[in-house]
Amino acid sequence: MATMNRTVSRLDLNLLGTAVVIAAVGCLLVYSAVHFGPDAPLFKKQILWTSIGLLLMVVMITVDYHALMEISPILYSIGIVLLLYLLFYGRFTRNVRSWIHIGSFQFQPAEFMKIFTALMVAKYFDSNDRAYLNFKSFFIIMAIIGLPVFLIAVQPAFGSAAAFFPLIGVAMFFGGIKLRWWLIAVLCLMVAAPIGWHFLKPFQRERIAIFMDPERDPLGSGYQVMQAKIATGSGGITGKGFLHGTQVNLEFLPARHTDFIFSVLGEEWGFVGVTVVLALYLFLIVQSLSVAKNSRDRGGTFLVLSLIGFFIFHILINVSMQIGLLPVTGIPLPLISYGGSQTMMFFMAIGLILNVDFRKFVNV
Amino acid sequence: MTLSRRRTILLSAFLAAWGIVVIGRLVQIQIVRHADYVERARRQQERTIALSPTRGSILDSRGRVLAESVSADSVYADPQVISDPARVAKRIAAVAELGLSERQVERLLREDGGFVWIARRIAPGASAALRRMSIPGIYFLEEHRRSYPRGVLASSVIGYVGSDGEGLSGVEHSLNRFIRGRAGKVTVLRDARRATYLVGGEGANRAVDGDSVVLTIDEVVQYIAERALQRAVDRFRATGATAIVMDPADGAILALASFPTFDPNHYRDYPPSQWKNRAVQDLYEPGSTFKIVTASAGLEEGIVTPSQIVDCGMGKISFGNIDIHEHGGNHYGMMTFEDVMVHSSNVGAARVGLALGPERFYRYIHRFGFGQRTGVQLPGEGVGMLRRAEKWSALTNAEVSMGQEIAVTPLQIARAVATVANGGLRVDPRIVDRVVDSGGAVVYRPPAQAPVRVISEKTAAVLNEILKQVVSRGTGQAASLAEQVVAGKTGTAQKPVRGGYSPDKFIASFAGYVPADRPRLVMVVVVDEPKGSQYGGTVAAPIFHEIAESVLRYLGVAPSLPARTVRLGQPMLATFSQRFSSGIDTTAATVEARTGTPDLRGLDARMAISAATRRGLSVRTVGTGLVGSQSPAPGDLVPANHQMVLTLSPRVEATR
Repeated sequence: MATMNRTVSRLDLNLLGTAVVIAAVGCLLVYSAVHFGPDAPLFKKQILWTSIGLLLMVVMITVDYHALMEISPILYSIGIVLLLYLLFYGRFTRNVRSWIHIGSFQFQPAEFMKIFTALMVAKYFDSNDRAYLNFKSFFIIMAIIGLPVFLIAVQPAFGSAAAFFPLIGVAMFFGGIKLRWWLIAVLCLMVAAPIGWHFLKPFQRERIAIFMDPERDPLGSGYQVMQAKIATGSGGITGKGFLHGTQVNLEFLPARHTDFIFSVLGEEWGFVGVTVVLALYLFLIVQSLSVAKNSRDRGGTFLVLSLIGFFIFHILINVSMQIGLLPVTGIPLPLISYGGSQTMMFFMAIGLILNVDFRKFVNV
Repeated sequence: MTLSRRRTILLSAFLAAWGIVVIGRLVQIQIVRHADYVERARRQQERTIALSPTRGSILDSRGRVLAESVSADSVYADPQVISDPARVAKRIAAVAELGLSERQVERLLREDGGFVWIARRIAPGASAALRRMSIPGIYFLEEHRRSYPRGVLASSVIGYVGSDGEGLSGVEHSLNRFIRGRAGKVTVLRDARRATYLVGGEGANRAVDGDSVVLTIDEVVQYIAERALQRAVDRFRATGATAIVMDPADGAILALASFPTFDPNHYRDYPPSQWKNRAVQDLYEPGSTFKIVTASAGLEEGIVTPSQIVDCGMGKISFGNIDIHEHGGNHYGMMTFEDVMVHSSNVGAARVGLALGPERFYRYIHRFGFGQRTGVQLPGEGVGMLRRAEKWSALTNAEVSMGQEIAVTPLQIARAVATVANGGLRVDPRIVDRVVDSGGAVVYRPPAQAPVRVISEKTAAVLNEILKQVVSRGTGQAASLAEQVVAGKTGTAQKPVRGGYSPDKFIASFAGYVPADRPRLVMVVVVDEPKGSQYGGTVAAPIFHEIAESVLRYLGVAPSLPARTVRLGQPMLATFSQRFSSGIDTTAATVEARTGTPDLRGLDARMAISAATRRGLSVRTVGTGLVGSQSPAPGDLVPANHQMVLTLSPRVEATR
């Protein structure tokens, strides 16, 4: 009991509380988005996902992250096997093979793979204590990250694949990498981009073209961004009120419980609501950064930085997409968008961050 | 730790910059361009549907309905409420009057959204059957259809209403602003799949029903006039005809008939030429009836007296190489002015007109109202054509004296004759008595023009004697009545054609009033191009006779001639109503035993029933809610204890 109390008192309750508040806001927004239609049961499911997420978070706090890093090759291998399975036996759902179906239950291995890959890279950094990465270690890290990215990209789920980008960024930026490797990486990207365009599916090209000029085709795919902007814009400063978003209720807003849930927030809670939620995220990020800084070892630092990188990446891409700053991609809003796998993943990430924070002192 | 300070700052700066861009963009969308996006949202989400108000009725002077808007239920469904479309579709399709198949209905019931029309403006029977089923999710909305229960009767006065609900001719047009009412509107929401949702409450934008117009027309008099006119048109194969029956005392037009006619219920089935009202729109040369004006001026100015001898010469009077002849090649020689009128001598009238001279004559013509509209509230009224005195030649002066080179409307002639009947006072004719709101309060009454003295009472009395002679021993004998003294003047005008007058196309007319010494009716009858006979005395005067005889009896005017006694009262009315069947309600004449129905529309069932029973009427109700329509219509006369049928309809309910 005493141990328990001490454990709780050492937890960063500010960080934990912020995450829970964001998830609660998320549940309310999901309710708002689905309460009137045939999707109404999704609200209860989201409550279930959040509960499971909280449970997984507790697990992630309890088990020492060093132990998790130790077993990360196993977790990573399992993830790769699942992705390979999808590649050969996966079922297409909305143009992509991202879900593994077990009975009525389904999940996205790609989401969990983000955590496993982050652990794997952290483990590598932990055992590789040098100021700068040499070519060999750079290559190894790129391989660790590149394998799942490739497997996900051919699903083809570019959004999910791109979500691994923060891992690369963090590894190269903070892992200590010489300028020339940066240049090589950038050059590779510049060569890869046009080639990549060539391999894009028509609907993906369309998305990028529409991003350039969303008003061009108000009833086609640009329709989504238009409707999202109308929702957010008509919300104004104080919003239309909980459950009173007309864009939402009249079903003008597409994917309103998943990718475009931020527009529900914008319409019903207005600029004030949007600012509050963004402030909560900012607080979460700043708290996590201090965790990274105070971590007792290199592995912990990289782990936390990678995880917080995921948060920043998802938030910025998702929000930018709805307000027409970036093309539409299937990137959810952390802890708020509807979804089983990713809700669990983000709670696990929060758990790991708390884990590192909790074990910053050697004598635990 | 390995976190490089420089790189941390660099990355933080990048993320902060992005964050600022995001916030800036949100400010732009949510605050700066807020109004624009609100407008865009509104544009794609809202649709405004106009709620048409109920048009007011048009009633005759005794409150009988000439035009009304009858309610017809429209049925709509909220598919989201209906759990078993197949079963509901089967029940609805079972109502055969709807003419809908089970498949059609089921397809409608399976549509997205919360509002779909099943059928518009359905028959009352079908509506009652559906209401009895009271199926959840099936609702009714009261809509309206214009109905003219008397068909062609007075159609040229009443006019008709176009498909957009606006009056296009007749009183429907001229008083449209009162009858129309004020449209309401309701805003419906539309979702992304274009399904619409009726969001409850008509609120402040409810439609305001139109007011009702009470005409001076008496349905029975109108029927008598139309029937007589129809008969004459058939007999003489005329191209058209007009009859005006007017009360000289106040200018009230009791009947205004125009042929050919049309049924306003189906006005599109008739050529537009038949929609017009000849009594106010047709211009014609009045011919000899205009000699009333010539005589009035001559007598008033002391140029002639009735017994004064006028030299009618050898039946012609010459102006250069143009001669004016007597009709029928007569030559009357010397005769009294009274005889000039009695025999309708053209030469005699011309001599009087010439003696008056253009200026004086013109002044009288103008004072009688020619060249000016009567101001009756019917659309398209003609002004007539009256050349200014300065431009008259001697020939013009002579021609005008006998009713040529001047164009008038039949109603202008009626006004002139009424002036003589009134002892020299000109009263402008009127056809709209008042406009009342649904509560019966008068909201508008056409301003009454002060009577204008045109000729002295003495002159009028002298002229009256002359016009009596016209009927008793002159050209108008066919207009005479057994029990009443008639005064009047015939007219037989050749129709003007290019370069002169047609030798075989005539306009036969008779203008007069009765009883001559206490006039109750002024009447003008004009028949266009009669075949077989062309004289006003042979074509138009008999019509005057026929109409006057029936109308005077209907009005219960006591005989002024003791020729034979006629019993007044019930037996006569019975004969009357047998003779004029075809749906005309003559029962109103026996008001004693009857009572007018109250207007119960808009009341709830309890209030309506108590209001009706207070008047000694019994009530049967159909449906629930507020009284939408009632039978008989408000103001109809019914026997005591009559059972009224009230159709109730619920308010439009919110469906979501």
